[in-house]
Amino acid sequence: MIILQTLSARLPDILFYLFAGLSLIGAVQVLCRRNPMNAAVSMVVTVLSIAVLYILLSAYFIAAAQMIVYAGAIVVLFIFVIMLLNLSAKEIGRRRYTLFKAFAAFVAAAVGVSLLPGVRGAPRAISEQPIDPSFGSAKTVGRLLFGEFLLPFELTSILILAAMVAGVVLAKRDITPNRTFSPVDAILDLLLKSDRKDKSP
Amino acid sequence: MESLIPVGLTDLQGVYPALNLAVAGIVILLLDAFFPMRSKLLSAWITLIALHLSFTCGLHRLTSGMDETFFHGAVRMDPFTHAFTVIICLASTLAVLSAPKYLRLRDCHYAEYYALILFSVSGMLLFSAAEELIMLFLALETMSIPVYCLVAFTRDNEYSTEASMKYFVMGAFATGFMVYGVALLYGSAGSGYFADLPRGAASSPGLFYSGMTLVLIGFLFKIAAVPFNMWTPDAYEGAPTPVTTFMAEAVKAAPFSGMIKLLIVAFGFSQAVHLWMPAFIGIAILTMVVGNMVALVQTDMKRMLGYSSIAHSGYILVGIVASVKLNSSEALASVLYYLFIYVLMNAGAFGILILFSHKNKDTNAIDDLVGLGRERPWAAAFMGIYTLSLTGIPPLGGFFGKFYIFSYAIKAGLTPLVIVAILTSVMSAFYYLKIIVAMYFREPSDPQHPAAFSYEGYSVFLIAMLCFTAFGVIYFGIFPKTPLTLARLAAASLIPAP
Repeated sequence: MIILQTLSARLPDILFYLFAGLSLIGAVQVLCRRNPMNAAVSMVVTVLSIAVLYILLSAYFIAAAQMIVYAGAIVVLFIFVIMLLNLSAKEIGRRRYTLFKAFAAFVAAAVGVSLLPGVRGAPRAISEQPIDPSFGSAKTVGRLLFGEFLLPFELTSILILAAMVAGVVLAKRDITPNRTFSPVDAILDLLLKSDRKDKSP
Repeated sequence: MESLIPVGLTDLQGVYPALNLAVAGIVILLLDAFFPMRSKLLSAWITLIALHLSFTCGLHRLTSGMDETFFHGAVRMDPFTHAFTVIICLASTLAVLSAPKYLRLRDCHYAEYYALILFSVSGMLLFSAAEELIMLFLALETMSIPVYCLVAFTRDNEYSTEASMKYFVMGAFATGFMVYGVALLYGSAGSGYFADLPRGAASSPGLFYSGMTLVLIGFLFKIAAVPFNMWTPDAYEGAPTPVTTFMAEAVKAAPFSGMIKLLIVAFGFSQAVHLWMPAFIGIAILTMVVGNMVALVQTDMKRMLGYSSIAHSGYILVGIVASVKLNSSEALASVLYYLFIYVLMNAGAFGILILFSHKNKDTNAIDDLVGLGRERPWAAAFMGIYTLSLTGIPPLGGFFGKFYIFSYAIKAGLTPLVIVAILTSVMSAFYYLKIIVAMYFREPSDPQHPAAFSYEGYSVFLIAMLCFTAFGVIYFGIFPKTPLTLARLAAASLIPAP
């Protein structure tokens, strides 16, 4: 009985360590897997465990968004691309161990160790504050997005528009318009006579 | 009932310079979709008008000393931001002026070019205004992503595609550093506003200083400081020359705005300064030495100017270090003045390359310029002015830019740094003078068939740009009072007078 009680009291902690560990394992697998498909699936593990961590923090809306956007959309796109490329085992190549990789692992470990004291110190102060019941709801997130963070939120629309235009410009085979006559052209012809000779038919 | 979206007209008016550009970009895209034109000059004109409106708005606000925050403190429109609005809009105008003919010759004169430039510039303007980490990061991305595409704009050119890919991958790395740093800083301070960040250093120093390091590394990538410079020469060389002009000026100047703001507002307290200052001094020395040394052996003009722009980043870093050490707005003003002059002289040098670029072959190698002084004396004289100014020969603008920065650095007790800076400046004279020697003193290798210099890239836009930059380099060198007064006004808003 006592064991059950302590277990249920400690349940959030247990879940946290479980899923934090899973997300770490997934992240390491993304890096180490030679086969891109395995790496993409490992990324799903990471992304979903982080969604669980969000739920533990009572950020339900963000958790749902994380699952739908990352696990649902982005990883699916990755998998699509990987399957379209259809790499053979020869193209993937075998695992190689280089000094550079060892150095990278060392740097990553060093960053982790240097961050550890800060991470251990920070959450205590926050966890003692009572949580607002509406915290993490879609309404609260919406208020933040359309209130305090309105300008960054709107800026993302410009960012995505620019990225989309950039993608079309780079990828479309022929971006010269088919229809070459338009009223604007007629007006321009009247205004800018000198420009006319350079126009190719 | 309270308004659902708590934003007033004043907020929108506050970000007018950036908003105006984004709207102009969308208008260009729509116009091109509904009325596909043979001539894209209308888009060029819309771009120029939009940039001009933002420029005048920035100048007006700078002289009237407007200083307000908008959108719940996400952006602050202070004179420092206005000064960067002016510099960035000027730089982009010069880059846009150099583009139309070059692109038309290569059959890739599309309206999307101008739309992407406008989106990028609107990101830059918001970047220089950002007072909050998320805003800063998103504006930085809005600035960078269109440029990745612009580098590959001549799509059938494999060098451009390669350069774009390298630039994109390196930019993604920089973004990774930046986001990691932003997350750690937010985690330590519990708020993204620059003014709140120093709080994080007290509560959890480990997170704060790691975050600061990562964010600064991201910035150093963007300004191409050594050892984060590896993308610069390739991207500059591979990009179409008008895009290189844009990258070497606007994309170069803009990251400095956010970096200076962050360094002074968020990392300006003494413990943090003690950490980043020595690192910045080391990086400035490395940047100046490596940039200038490698530029010495280059034979391609664009690549050489790429390395020289790395070296110029080093000089600007010296100015930033000096102004933080002195805590003087005068020293910061010299940095702004230097950026202003740098934009003018660098744009001119690229403009000459565009002027003589043939349809199938760019004029990029220094050897291509042999005999220019005899064949086209005017163009050679212009090029001479730009290169002498880049070297730092009085009475041209480049000299005074360096002179002010170095004198403040000496005042700040950074004498060893200034000695390195002056020695490397002397070193830079070798490669800049190589251009002048090629133009005036070298005989063509085949005297029977000297290189023909036809003004194939000629356009009214380009000539206007060349005349303006040459005039600016001379005029603002001899009479630096107006830009300096404005720069002091701008710098005083960030470092208040004691």
